[in-house]
Amino acid sequence: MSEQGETVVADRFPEPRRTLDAEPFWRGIAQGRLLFQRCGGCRTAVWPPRSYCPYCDAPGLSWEESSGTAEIYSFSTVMRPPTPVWNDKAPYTVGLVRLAEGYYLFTEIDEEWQGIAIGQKVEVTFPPRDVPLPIFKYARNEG
Amino acid sequence: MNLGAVAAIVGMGDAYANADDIKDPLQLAAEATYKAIADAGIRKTDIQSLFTGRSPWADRRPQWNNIFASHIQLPLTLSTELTMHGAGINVMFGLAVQNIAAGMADYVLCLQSDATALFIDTVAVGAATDADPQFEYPFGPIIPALYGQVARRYMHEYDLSEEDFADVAVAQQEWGRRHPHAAKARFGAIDRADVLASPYVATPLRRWMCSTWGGGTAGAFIVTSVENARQADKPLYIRGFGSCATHEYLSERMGIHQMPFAADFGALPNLTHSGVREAARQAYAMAGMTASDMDMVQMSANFSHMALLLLEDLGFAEKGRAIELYRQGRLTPGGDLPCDTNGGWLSFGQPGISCDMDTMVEGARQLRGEALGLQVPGRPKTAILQGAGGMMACNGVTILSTEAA
Repeated sequence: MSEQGETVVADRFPEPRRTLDAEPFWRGIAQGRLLFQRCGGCRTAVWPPRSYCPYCDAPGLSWEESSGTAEIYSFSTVMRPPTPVWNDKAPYTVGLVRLAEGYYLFTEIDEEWQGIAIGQKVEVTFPPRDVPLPIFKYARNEG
Repeated sequence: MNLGAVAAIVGMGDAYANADDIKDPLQLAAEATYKAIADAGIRKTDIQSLFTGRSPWADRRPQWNNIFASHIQLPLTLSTELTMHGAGINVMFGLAVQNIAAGMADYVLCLQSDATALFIDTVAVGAATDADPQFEYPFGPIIPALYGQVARRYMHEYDLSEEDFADVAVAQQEWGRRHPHAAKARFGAIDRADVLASPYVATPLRRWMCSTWGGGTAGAFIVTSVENARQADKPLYIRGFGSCATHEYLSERMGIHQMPFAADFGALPNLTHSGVREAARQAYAMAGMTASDMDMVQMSANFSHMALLLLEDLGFAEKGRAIELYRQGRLTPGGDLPCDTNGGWLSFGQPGISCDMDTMVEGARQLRGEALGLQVPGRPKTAILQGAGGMMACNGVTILSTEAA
């Protein structure tokens, strides 16, 4: 695990710096499932993963599987990547999507960049990559 | 207890480096500090407290405050980094006031230096530091793509365009092209078409809508009691200060459903109302002033849309309406509300963590009538200075005046 900001590994895609709270999420990703937390007390969807609910401060967050359907909240297409490993991929789009369960996820929106707009319906996919991540594409029934 | 009449700046120093005149953060900080001490007319040993911001990006040793103090052999009773990201550099002035008000120090040194681009790979380290290493950085964002999320929402919610963002860059360059240390001064005057012809870095932000790195800078300030300041030549009174930190990583902001502050953050979650609203509220309340009392504003706008958003959060316009200040020409040379008079972060550049200190230096120089670039005519009396840090995460606001009350 590289120390944040101190070591930049430029010759391969960055691995997530996993926290213990998030281990169930990453196990879900390995199985092609998008998991998130919900508070047993106030029933609010919680993201990112924690050990206490940030809304009602109760312990005991439980994990649920998301429908994986979402709406684009905002986005930006990267033209000048952070390290050379991304060069062949650019331009690519990163954005915030609002999941049907009500939480917001930062992700990649893997579509032609000129057509992407706020409010478009998207859904999660798990494309085979060096570093497995949840990637969003336009929802199938939206064409 | 009103801390708005307790302390004043009685000495300041600045230092600059570029590719032809390379200095490291220790050299820049030493130069600025000795100038500030001489300007204040004190001895080095009169200083009891030192505040610095985060370690310079060009010298990331932890406890940099103590490294520097030892470097110039400056034994102290209190020394610390104030790390609300870069905003700590603005917030340290309020902390200096508190230190003096508590009777713990006669003279406080507020200091920052950096020279990022002269020493490290700036593109790679930037996003690796400020994006969430677990849930953001693996998707490949750069800092402009994180601030691009804010820009896209701001355009969407308030019906603004790339042309509007271009006009901000043009206005900043009107000041910056007249400043000897502005990173983009060499490009001279620009117009809207120049901005819109520059390539996207990360949509919707084009190159001219983004700050550049620049060389190296340092700023050092000596703060003391109002009583001690009576002997000073051009004291600048710290009339108000405030601060607010809302989150760390940008996407965490989207999980905030409520803010525990008196300021209005709009319907949450959102990316269009920053903690500057609360920091400014505190500072205005302490000073007994409003935005209409300000002769000048110096901000930390790292991208075009942030200038608009910050002007709104500082109380100069309703949300979504700050573009009108630019359209009316109020913020450019000759306008009645001079703004970012060194070119701001867009044209002056971001030499590193010290960019928040460059904002303080420019504000203080203008108030003292000693601008290195274009001096605001009539010498402004009161200014609001805003510092930001992180991904719209941390905020400081300081109100300085040439008048004690």
